[in-house]
Amino acid sequence: MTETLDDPLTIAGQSFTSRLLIGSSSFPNNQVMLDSIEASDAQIVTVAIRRVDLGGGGENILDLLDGNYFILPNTAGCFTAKDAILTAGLAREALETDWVKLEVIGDRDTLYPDAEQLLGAADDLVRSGFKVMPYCTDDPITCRKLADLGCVAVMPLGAPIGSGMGVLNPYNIEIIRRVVSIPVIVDAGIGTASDAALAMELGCDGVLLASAVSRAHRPVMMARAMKGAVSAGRLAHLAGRIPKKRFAQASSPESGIIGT
Amino acid sequence: MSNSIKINGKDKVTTASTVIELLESEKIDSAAKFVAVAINGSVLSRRSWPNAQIKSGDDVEIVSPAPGG
Repeated sequence: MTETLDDPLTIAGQSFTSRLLIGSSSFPNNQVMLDSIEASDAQIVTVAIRRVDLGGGGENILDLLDGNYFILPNTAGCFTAKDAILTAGLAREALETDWVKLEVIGDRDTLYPDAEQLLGAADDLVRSGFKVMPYCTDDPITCRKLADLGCVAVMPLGAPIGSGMGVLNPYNIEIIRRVVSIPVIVDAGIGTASDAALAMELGCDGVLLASAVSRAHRPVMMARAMKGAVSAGRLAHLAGRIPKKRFAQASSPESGIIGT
Repeated sequence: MSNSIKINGKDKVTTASTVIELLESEKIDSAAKFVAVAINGSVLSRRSWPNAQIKSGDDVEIVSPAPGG
């Protein structure tokens, strides 16, 4: 069946009209966060799990978001499978959800995923009934293994988290799209709208971003740009780009030219 | 009786004997949504809080959702 622009993003049987997933961190304030999320048209919003302030006080971000969005907790900040599994368990209890964006980080400077720990955590969590969406390297083999374990999507990085460098290895992203049958969502590295559009043009099913909007000079405006970029990229993918050629190919008729 | 425990990475002496009492002593609304508790690496269901015992040496984590990417 031919895909259309209006086809929903379906993950583990759950359908979403928006293919843009957005993080809730690093906004200048809560109102800008809410306005940006609304402008992005995203339905899936990610949150972290953190220790509460002892002694009380402080509002919870869920008081602002609950009921309006599909909340996807992450395991950001975890460096071992053990910590990620515990964090996912705490998220399940706190949010009454089996869904988790699984992050197991291997290095503080690059925030690159630790593939070995990630695969171990994914295996454990899938067996425990979680719907696991792993943040992973743009490595087709790791993505295939994550899919084989039963993850409901794979989320290869475009570039390091918060780097804004865009999709550094579009060839790998295209290969990943070919080798797994579950949704592929580019996560991390998006810097501006064209990066999100490229990810979608490569055939990805969605884009997850945070800093590109929250740290933009004008976050709400960038959120609108990202919404348009994801839609345009998806449309271009469905339309089918022309092949790249080394030499020119005239677009005007080559017959009837004066002086020939 | 008081117990020496660790809460969210900090050493603490508490007279709380259950998780519910511990939450109350830390001014955390035990009826509030979006809170989760783990002791010694095991997540506790909310319904177990009234009976879950606090013992000396326990490592308690009390968490909730926060802004994240």
